[in-house]
Amino acid sequence: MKEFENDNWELKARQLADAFQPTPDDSVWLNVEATLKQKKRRGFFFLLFSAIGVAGLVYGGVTLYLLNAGDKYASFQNNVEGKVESTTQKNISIEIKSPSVTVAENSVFEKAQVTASNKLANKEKGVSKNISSSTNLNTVINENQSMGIPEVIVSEPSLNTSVANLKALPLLFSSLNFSENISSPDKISVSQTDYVNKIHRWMLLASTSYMNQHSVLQSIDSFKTFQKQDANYFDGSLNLIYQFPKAKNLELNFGIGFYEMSQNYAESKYLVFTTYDTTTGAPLALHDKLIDTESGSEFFRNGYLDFGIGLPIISGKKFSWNLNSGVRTEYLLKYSTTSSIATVPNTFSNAVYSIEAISQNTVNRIYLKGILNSSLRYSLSQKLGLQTGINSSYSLTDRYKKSGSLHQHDLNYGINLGLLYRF
Amino acid sequence: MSESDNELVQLCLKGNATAQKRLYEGFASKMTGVCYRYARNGEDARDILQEGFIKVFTRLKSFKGDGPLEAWIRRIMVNTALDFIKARSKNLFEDEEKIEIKNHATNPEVLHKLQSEDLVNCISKLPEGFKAVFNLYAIEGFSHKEVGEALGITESTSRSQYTRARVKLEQIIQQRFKVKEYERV
Repeated sequence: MKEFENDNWELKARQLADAFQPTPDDSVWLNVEATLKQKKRRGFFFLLFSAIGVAGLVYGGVTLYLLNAGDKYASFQNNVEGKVESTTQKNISIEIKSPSVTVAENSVFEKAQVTASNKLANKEKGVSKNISSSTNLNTVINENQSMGIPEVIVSEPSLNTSVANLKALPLLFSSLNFSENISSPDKISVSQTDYVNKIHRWMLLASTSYMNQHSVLQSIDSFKTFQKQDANYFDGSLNLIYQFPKAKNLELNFGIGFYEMSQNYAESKYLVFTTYDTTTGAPLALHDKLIDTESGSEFFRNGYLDFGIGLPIISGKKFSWNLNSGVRTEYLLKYSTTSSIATVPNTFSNAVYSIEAISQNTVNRIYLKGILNSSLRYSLSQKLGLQTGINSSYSLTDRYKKSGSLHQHDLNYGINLGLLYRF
Repeated sequence: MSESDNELVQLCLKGNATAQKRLYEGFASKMTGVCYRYARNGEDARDILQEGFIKVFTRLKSFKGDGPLEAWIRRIMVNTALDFIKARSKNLFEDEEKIEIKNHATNPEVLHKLQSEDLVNCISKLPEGFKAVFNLYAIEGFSHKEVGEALGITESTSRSQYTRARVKLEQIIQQRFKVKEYERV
């Protein structure tokens, strides 16, 4: 800080300026108070929805893991039972690695039927044996036992399969009921290809919606004035959907989207004012109870993030009817407003002030919407589908005018059409 | 910071609405005066004041108490006002460069005839750049270096703009006084 106490001019200027302490307008505190309350409420809802979001992610992650683990077991069973029991073209080679271990009865292996011609190879002894199509795998195992061949490797080279180490899959092995006195097979082939193609859990949905928005703006001052605003707009979104086949096709839905919208408004109010002669400054007339109509438009550009949960109400081979509910956070990317000239009688024209001056702290606000969507899906092919339905959402936000605060209720509804890709 | 200010801040931090209102009422008038000096009109001053107090309450946690609460609030108001001015005019000194100041002589007596409201009204008539430099240097007591940092200009620019701003202000004051005398006749 400079030392300017010696400068009388600046000192006097400072004293004069500091002595000016006008009483501020009452609306300032009301707006400050309303903003603080909203921030507090927003903080609470932010925490609440963050907690719900985190819980949802944890729940989804755990479910995903458990279902994956379950599917690996199911997939393994399918591989063992299916490939061994019903496949007629595939070769299964069984390698004997060490002569010291015996194999006990096993429910999976018991069921297995080798239906194709198989080769039994004993690398150590150099023995190779064909197995007939009706040979029970148990028989093979028994034969192996009688030949002192205890440890098996089931492999399927023709399918170019991935090989998993069974010792690394405790969950899988816990249900295979190997007796304690034996060691598990070192390697077993698990084909993933069929599983991925048969169950489409992930879906990508690109959709566009035609939406209507009905807004009611209610002032929170003592007058409780209302203003209605309507708008139509197109909305584009991209959603990633995860389906849980084991949980009746319950879906988790994550989406991003974007829309632009212009809202027209018309507001009428009574005016009381005096007109003056522009030359002399003398008052000409007092106008009382004249209706002044203000009109204009507001422009919004919003981006949003969706999180939702969906369930199919009816699910057929090609058709399904889904219901989805969730929450949306919207981010105001751009806002602008225009207003027209209001004209009152006596040829007196007065430029209307900017109706809605949103202050800096209100612009770029994030707020929440509740969403409820219903949609019909039709599968065009194994990977492609069409989706159409109705969207609806509701939100309550606080906005700030120079003259006071407003509650804005927004009801959105519309139809959507989208393309679904399963992968 | 006084004990009562400390208690008030603590209560505000706990979300006590009565304390928040007390804090607002305690400083609102002084800060309105600050805002008027940077604003073009009453409506702008209200906006700055509102914005400034929202910042005060949301940033109250960062108030360390190592200086007077009033000075801290005042600094927030000044920064809010500067943001407001900067948002409105991209180049603060674009118009000021074009203003021709013929006579750089100043009259030290010119302030003695003024009421506080008169001075603030005259300051608000200054072009944005002049207004910012004048307020920061003469009223807030910033050095030219600090003014330069706050406005993103050099120290020498601050110095020269301040000189021009003061001359311009005196011209406005003199003009206004003539008008006042004429009106009284």
